[in-house]
This record gives sequence, C-alpha cells and structure tokens, in this order.
Amino acid sequence: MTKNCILELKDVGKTYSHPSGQKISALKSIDLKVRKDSLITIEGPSGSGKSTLLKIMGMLEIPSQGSVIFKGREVKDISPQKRSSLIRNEIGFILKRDNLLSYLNALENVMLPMINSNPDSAREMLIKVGFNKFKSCPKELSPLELQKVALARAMVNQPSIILADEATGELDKLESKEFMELLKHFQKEFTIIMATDDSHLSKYADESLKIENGALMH
Amino acid sequence: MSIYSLALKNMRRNKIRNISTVLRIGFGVLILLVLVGSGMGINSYIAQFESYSGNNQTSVNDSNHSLNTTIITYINDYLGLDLNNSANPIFFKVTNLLSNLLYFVDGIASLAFLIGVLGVLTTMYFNEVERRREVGLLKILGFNERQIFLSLALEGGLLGFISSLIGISLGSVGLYLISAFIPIISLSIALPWWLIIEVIILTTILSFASGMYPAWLASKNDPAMVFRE
Repeated sequence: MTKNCILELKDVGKTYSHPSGQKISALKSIDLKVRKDSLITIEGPSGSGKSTLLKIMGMLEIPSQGSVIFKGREVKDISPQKRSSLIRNEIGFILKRDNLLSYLNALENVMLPMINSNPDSAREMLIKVGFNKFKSCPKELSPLELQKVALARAMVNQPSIILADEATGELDKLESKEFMELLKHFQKEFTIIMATDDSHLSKYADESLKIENGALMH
Repeated sequence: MSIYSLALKNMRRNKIRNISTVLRIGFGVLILLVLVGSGMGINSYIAQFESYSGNNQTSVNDSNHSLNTTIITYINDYLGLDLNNSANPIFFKVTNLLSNLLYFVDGIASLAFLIGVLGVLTTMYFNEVERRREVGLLKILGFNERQIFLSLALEGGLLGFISSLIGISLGSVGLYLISAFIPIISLSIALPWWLIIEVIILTTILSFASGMYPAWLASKNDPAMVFRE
C-alpha cells in the first residue's frame, strides 16, 4: 500500500444467496486503490453493484473473497465493535434520500455521530456547507438543503472518506451542480467516493470509474 | 450524541403512540395505587381490628375517625351487631371476608398494572418494525449494536418512568377524592411514600425489561439495508 493510498481493494468479490438457493454474484474481482484527497465517481446503471461496492468500502459488509485494506489494516480482521468506532471516526455516508432522522432538527442530526456533542462544531459545519436553518426539521427542508445537512453530518467527525450513494439522485440539474461543486470544494479536506447513474457528474471527478454487472471497467 | 440523549429525543417520535402508551401504563399505575391504597386501608383495618377486638374499648374511642372505627360503627349501626366482641361468631367471618377482599383487590390491581406495563412491549415492537431503516442509519453513523439496544430499551424505561409519575399524580387525586366522598380512609393511610417509590421503580424496571426484546431485535438490523430503495 503506497503512502498516499488510504483504501485498497484486492480481488474483492461479493456473492449473495437468493432465498431460492441460487448464488448471485454482485461484485467480481475488484481491484482498486483510493488516493487521499481525491474525488472518485463510480458510474453504472441500477443493479450494477455500485451500492454493494460502497457498502464494502464503508466496512458495512465483508467481501466473500479478496481483501479490503483501510489505512493499512485488513478490515475483516477488525472486530465488529472496533469497526463501528472506525466507521464513526473515519467514514461519512451520504445516501440518496431519508438521510436524516425526522424527529431531530438539522443541528441535532449533524450532532448525531459526534462522540462529544458540541453544538458549536455542528453549527460551524452547517455554515461551511451554506446552511443556516439550524432548528428546522427535515420535512421543512428542500432536497438540496437535506443533502447539505447530510454532507455536514458526514464531515462533522473529520473522517478520511466520504461515501455518497447517488447523493444527487433526488436533485434537479441546478441543485446537482451546486451540490457537486460543494463536494469538489471539500475534496481538499476529504476523500470523496460517489456512486451515481448520472454520467454528467464525471466532469467533477479526478477519477471516474464505470461498473457493469459487478465488474469495474477502468 | 450520547445514547441517553438519543433515547430521550426518540420520545418525540410517534407522539400519539407514546402518549397512548404513557396513559395506558399510567392508568394501570392509577388502578394499582387506588386499589392497593384502599386495600391497605382494609389491611390496616383488619390488623387494628384484631388488636383491639378483645377488650381494648378505649382505643376505639381514641381513634374515632380512623378507618376501622368507621367501618365497625357502620356495620354495628346498620346490621345491629356487636363486632367489637371477638366471641361474636360473625367477627371471624367478617375478618375472613375482608382478608379475601384484600387479596381480590390486590389481584385486580396487579393485573391492571401488568397489562399497562406490557403495553410497552407492543409499543416498542411497533417502533422496532417502523424504525428498521433508522436503526440502519444509526449503524452507518457508527452506533454499535449495544448502543442501539441500550437506547431503545432506555426509551421503554423512560416511557414507564413518565407513566408512573402521571399515574401517581392521578392516583393521588383519585385517592383524595375517594377519601373526600367516603370518609373511611385518610390519604396518609392510603398513600405512604414507600408505595410511591416502589411503584416508580417497579414501573420503570418492568417497562425497561419489556422493551428489551424489541430493542434486541432492532439492534440486529442490517445497516446495509439503508442503501436499498
């Protein structure tokens, strides 16, 4: 693993068992090195394996074959307890929708992953992403505002990697552009990996990967 | 955010369901307090009845306003009996009747209380079914199974604690009204401080325990599910 590489996937494959007994191969022999402070897009149609790849990169799933090395440590050797703590400190997630807990306001949602709840840091992070309706509930926010809050929450623990799964999927063209520019702005501080089915977003990326039927097309 | 803070904030969710659970448990606590409170009055009556029924006529005169005196006077006046005399065969029958009545009342009180507290189990189970995605979300934010289990079980305990406070408040008013309309028991006899503390502790612990199984189920949810549409 090179010094600049924070995440490495070696020959990673993932197979699921269908209730009928059939084996479904979601990922096939993926090799990937993620450099620090880069913005990577993973493009592919629905069902191509993008989300599975993100789940494996985010340590939420263990691959059926191959190895995932995060900051020099083999992920499958880390206990579930330590993995949760590692996820909290090192990885930020942004989902397509329903990122926020409906009964918490924007500020509380950002404070959620913080170990020492500090409203000032959370407020500062929200201001950084251009959001100031701290006390608003998720139902009062636009799709772009919701994603901005999700981005602030993903960044609040200063993680190494931010994983975004179709984070612009609910946004219109203008909103997508604004959100991607925001991600690009924070790329200096965080490594960002985004799964998307929108090929137009590749122009914001340092590296754009394509995935089809569970295999990466470099 | 700490799990305690999360458990407290979770109460904002499904307000109507939580309020209905709190009222249901509170009602159980109320029934328990009123019936056990009244039962204690009867118990006190039996104990005192037996102590002075031999020849201690003076104590009857001294506690003219006490529960036992009132009941004895009531029975003597309306049935034309002399229950202050232990040689009277009806004395034992009345004592037995009151003892059985006490067990019956306590049985009903315990049942009402248990039905109320078991309401936490159904509420927390519904919460678990509805919150699968939220639990997944908490897991991708770095909460582990133990923290999620504890926060949900604590939520059940909190529901019980709030319910016990409401039930005790309403129960106190209920007992006050009973004592005002039927002057056979005084509030100090019917509602001692230890009963209040026992009810709070018992309700909170039972509610916490009832919430444990749904919380355990919820904590096992797969975090990867949040990626599904």
